Amino acid sequence: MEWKFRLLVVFILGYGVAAAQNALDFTHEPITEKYNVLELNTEVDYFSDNIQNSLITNLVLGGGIDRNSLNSMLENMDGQNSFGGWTDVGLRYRSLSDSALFKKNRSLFLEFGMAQYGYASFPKDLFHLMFIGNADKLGETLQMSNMTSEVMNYQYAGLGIMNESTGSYLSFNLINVQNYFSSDIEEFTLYTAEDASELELAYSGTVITNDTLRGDFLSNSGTGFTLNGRYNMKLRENKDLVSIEVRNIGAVQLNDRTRELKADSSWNYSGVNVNELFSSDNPFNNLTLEDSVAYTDEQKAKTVWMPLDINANYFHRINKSDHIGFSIRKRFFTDHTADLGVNYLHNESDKVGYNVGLSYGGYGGLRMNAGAHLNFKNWRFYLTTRNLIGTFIESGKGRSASFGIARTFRQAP
Amino acid sequence: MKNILSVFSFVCFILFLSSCNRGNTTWEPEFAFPIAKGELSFHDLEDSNDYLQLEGEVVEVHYYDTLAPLDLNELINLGDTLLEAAYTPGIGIGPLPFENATNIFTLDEDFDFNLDGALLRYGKVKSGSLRVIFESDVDGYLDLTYLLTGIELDGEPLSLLGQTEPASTVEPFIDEIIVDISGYTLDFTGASGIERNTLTGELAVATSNSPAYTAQVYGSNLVTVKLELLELEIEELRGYFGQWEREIDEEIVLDSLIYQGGTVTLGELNASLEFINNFGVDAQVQLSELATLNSVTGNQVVLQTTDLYNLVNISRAIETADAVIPSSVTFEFDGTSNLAEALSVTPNRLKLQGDAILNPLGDVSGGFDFFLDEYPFQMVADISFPLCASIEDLILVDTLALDLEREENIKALTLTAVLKNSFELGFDVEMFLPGVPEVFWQASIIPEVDGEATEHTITLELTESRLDEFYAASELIVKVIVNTINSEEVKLLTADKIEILITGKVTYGVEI
Repeated sequence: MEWKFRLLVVFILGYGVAAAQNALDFTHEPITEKYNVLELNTEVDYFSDNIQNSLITNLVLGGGIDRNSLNSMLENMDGQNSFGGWTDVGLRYRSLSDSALFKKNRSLFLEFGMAQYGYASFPKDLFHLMFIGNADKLGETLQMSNMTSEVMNYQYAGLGIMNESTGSYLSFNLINVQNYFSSDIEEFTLYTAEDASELELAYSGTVITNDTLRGDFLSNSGTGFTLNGRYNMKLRENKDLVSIEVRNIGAVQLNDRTRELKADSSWNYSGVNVNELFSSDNPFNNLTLEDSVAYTDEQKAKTVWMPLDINANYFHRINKSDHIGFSIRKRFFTDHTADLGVNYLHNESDKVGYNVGLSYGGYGGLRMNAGAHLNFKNWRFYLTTRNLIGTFIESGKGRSASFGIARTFRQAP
Repeated sequence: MKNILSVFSFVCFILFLSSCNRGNTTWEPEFAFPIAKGELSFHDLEDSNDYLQLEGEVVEVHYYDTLAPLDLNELINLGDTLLEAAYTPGIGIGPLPFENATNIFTLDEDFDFNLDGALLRYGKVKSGSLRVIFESDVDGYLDLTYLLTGIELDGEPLSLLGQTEPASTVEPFIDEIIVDISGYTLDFTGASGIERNTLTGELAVATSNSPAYTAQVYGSNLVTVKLELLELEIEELRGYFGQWEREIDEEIVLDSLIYQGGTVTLGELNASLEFINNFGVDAQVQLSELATLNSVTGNQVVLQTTDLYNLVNISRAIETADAVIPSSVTFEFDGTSNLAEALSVTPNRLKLQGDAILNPLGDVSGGFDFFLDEYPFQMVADISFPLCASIEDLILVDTLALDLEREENIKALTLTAVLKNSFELGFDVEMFLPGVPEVFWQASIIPEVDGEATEHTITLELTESRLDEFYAASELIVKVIVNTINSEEVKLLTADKIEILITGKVTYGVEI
């Protein structure tokens, strides 16, 4: 299960920036030039209400995690905690045309990529057991009930159509699930007697995971599809823009080798009888936790909904160079609250622009957004973060970075 | 130049990324868990030790054992005897032709056992086999029907059928049969019914019905039958068994626990050594040495009590319709004996030397000795005493087999044992690993005080290197040194116990 734990953590990095903020629709300006585009977009974003970046750094990049920092983190935790994340690396080719689908101002685009998402809602005591242990909880019960988590690692290939004049689009994506893990632990308590003479474990819940220990890249644990779409509506002679984007409308069917582990039981352990220690048979040889803990393990196909991602924006053009935008975003991850944001965008010239802003919600509190873009001949670049301060400090509770590069191919007039 | 810059930038980028990887992520949570719980008392020994009696307040030892039974099978071994009878046709010189399925001759013959003074009338086989070898130098196919009227099962005599083929000119044809005769009776009185050591057999020789071959029989032709009893165990034997003398030289293992030293001085003792004669034979026994021995320390004490080394006569047992009434001679070890001294060496061996003689006066029963397997001749030790003792440095050593797989993620392990000792005994416990000179773990557990159990918390901290030693070992040697306070005599009570709780705290190295 180690890879799944790492996967959970890594993918939590990926929660992110509003749905694919591409190099060429940075300000959601209508597209006026005629060109084809090849673009690479990457994004990594995670944030949490109580997990510090230092832990995530250690979990992702390796290294020892010292007990003092774990204790300090634990002290600042609430009873119930959560984190989520998202990563996406995608390649998109868009071909502008006046006649796609026999309509003017329509273009087709193809996109390929790999993405991961993950989130978890967990009690403080689970963190305690996992990182600190139970040795300092003698005579107490670790309350670890109500834990949910989901991690998916997948590849996608999509075909979409875009309205060149508004930036609205609709795309259809095929999904190949590489790895999947989810847990819904309703009850999970561990009592350790004051003299450590007894452990009492009570548990009930469901874990779903793909059959292989770790699916390799492009290995198939399930297949599905999603619809993504954005609708841009211009108001007041292009001075204002309302944009609503919905992603991940769809589901995947995990294959019939998917394991569903269910349990609703309890387990008491008070050691072996002293006399057995002096017997010729080693009493610990036949003792394994897996054998002692009752659960069912069933393999069957499973349908899983993709986590819906809704993003609504309102942009107002202040003047030719400046815009202000208001956003609200909701990802359907456990404990994720709507994320409210305001952004100021300024184009210094045709080549350079930047944005700054604030957002509040999601898993954390107030965060500062910042970004910049650069147009250079046929190349476009952008770099943004939705957590400017947190990204650079170890005591922060999330990191965010999104980077894009695009090459345009102008069409003959 | 631009290309070089691009490549350089790319290489720098890759180096930057790879430098971020700091190896596996590790952390070390600490888990507490129970390992073992329970209590050690005399009751734990009840199932494996028949000698402890735990009904009363004080533990009593009642040692009762048959030390060295005399087995008549060792004295009268019918299985060593090879019996042979030769038969001739008695038809003149010959040769005479015999058609198929024609009887050539029928003869009776008795087999005599040469049993060195024993004159047997009757026996019953507990287990064993009879090997029968037919040899024929007749030039023809023969059917040999051999009826052993002296060997019966449920009133039916043992009938054997052998088949021989034409013999060569240089050696006879041999046919061999092995028959299981478990449960058969043996009538040693022969055809006349008054013989001894004699089995009667009747051989019928006929030409075979099947081969188209005319047998040519000479008067000098010989048909031989050999009988051999294999792995014979007798269940019952009657007759006169002869006069037998047997040397007794036994070293009897008393217990598997290894005592390495120390002394136990017992209080009240009651012991006896009894010779029980269940044989229908008179016997004489004379011991030359009876000694207790600790094979580890080499300490040995020769037992002494009244008349122990005198010659004793033990008359024969009496058989009734449904039982055997034995006769016996008993030596009591009372206060004048040195039994307490003999037991103080914590013996694990008993040495027994002497002579036993059966029928010292000859056939006084007129041939009516009897032996029933379920009623052996026994020497029985019967020792009983309440377990009141003063103990000084009694050293008990046991070896526990280890078969543990090293769990690499265990970085450190702290074992905590909480012991409550209600014995009036103190225990110094030491554990060793083979080949490691220093003590692996040791603890001193003092006796109870004023009727209250003493509580001890003993901690063993195992670092990674010590864990490696522990897991590499195939066994753990446990040495316990037992003492009573100031070597005073104490009562060991049935309620005495050591309550034990062993828990562990492991530092587990998680690595992902």
